[in-house]
Amino acid sequence: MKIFVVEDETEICKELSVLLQKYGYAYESSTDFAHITDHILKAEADLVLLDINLPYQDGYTICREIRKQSDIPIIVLTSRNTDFDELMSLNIGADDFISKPYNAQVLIARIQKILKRTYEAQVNSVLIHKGLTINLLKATASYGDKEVDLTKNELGILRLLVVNKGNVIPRDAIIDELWQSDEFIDENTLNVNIVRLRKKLSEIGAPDYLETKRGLGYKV
Amino acid sequence: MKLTDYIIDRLFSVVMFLVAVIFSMGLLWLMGLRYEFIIYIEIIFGFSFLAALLWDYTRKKKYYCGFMALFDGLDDKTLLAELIEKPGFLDGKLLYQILRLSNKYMNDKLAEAGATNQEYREYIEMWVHEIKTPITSAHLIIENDKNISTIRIDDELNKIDHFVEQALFYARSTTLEKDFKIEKTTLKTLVQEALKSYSKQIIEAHGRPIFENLDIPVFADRKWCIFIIGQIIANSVKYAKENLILTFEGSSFDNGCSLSISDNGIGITEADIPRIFDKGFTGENGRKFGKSTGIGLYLCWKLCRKMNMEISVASSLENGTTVKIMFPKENLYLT
Repeated sequence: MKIFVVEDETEICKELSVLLQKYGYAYESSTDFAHITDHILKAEADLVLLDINLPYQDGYTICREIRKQSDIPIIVLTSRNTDFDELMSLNIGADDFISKPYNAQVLIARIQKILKRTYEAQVNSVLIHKGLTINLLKATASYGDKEVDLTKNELGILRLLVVNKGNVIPRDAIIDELWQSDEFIDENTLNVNIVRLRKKLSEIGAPDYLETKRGLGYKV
Repeated sequence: MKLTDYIIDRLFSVVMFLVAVIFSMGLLWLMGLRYEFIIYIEIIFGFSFLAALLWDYTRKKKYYCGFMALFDGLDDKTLLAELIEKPGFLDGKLLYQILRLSNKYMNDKLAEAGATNQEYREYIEMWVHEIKTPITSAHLIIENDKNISTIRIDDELNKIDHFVEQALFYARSTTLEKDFKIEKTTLKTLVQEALKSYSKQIIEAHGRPIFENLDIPVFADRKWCIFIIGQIIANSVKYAKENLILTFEGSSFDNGCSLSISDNGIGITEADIPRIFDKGFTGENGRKFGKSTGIGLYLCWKLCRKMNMEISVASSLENGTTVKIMFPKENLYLT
């Protein structure tokens, strides 16, 4: 799956490319904003992330131009968060609208949702680290030839740790991550979830996958 | 305009007239005229004088009564000079002229101030949108390299983001336009979005949200409501004791529904409650904690008023505070 990013801020471009590649998407972008529509159409991407404030022409114009020739899904990402911008984006054929500053998990979730809806086929969204494969859409973890189903919270915890592999993630940050996906849990619930996750991981043969850093947090 | 007031105003002419009557009476008496003639002549003088006085009184009374009625009935008092009719008497004409000129001057000044205000608001909105780009980049940089210190920087970024948001809503609250969009949503969505935005602060305070009966549909502007609820949550976190519990409770009525947000924090002294929504008011808690700006609740109140919503606060010291927001039914927006 290839995602084309139309964004004139190089920092955001750079970080989006890292983020998207972490989740297994191919990434392409261009700085030739005068002919950006041609580049988008030529790239044969599966989805476009489009900023509104751009040099030469604004995102609305680009969106209209693309729509004349292609039905490729478009997500508008912008700091102009007035109701007018939102309505305008959806009216000219964008599929979704996310205002800055956006939460990276929300962005990834929306991308997954739209790709799934548009291409119907199961999008292969997996994270692999130290032999453990996490399938984000099926909510499973597999190690060797064994597979186990994960609950929403367990998947959230594991995803956060694997995406930031090697780094210690504090407990507060894990709770926060789960809050962002509408699970308003407290510390006790987190403890229960961690225990269950450990148990499941040892069932499939990865008993010490999750490391505890006393007083700091967890890491994989 | 009472008759007695008018007579007092005309006291000098009345006195002069009486003096003239007395002197002419004496003169005519000295001339040896018969009393009947003298009285007859004085009656003619008196009648003419009174008639002139009454005529002048009625036309002025009519004019100024109309003037006052027009003034009271006008919503926008600055239009007064455009609407009153020109009076028929000299002093009225002069004042009319002056009023028109001063009104025009005032309206020019008003327009000028309005334009400056508008420009400033536009600048703030632009600035807010500009600053969001680096905030987004920084969030993404952290997202790609989460560790103990970057996560702490992320928390600080969120604080910056909240201040920026407050500036944006402050700019929006100062204009008369109703630039919000009413859409159907639920209390649950509004509360959850606001909680997500302040998640880290609540988690650090070991806070726990409790939801009660929030599956109530409401018609409101999502962004504005999330901002308002966020401000209230921020206050609860700021003035929390240990083990913060935030209770969000919805209830519906015939003509709308309400959302109560209660905490178990330090509460507010009774004396401070009536002024809690005043701009810049920080109160007892503000003095004790020194973190208060007196802007948050003021903005909540102002935004609520713009959206036809009501907001009220009840509190008991040491036990906690409850903020209640009333949402009107959809059809109230249509009128």
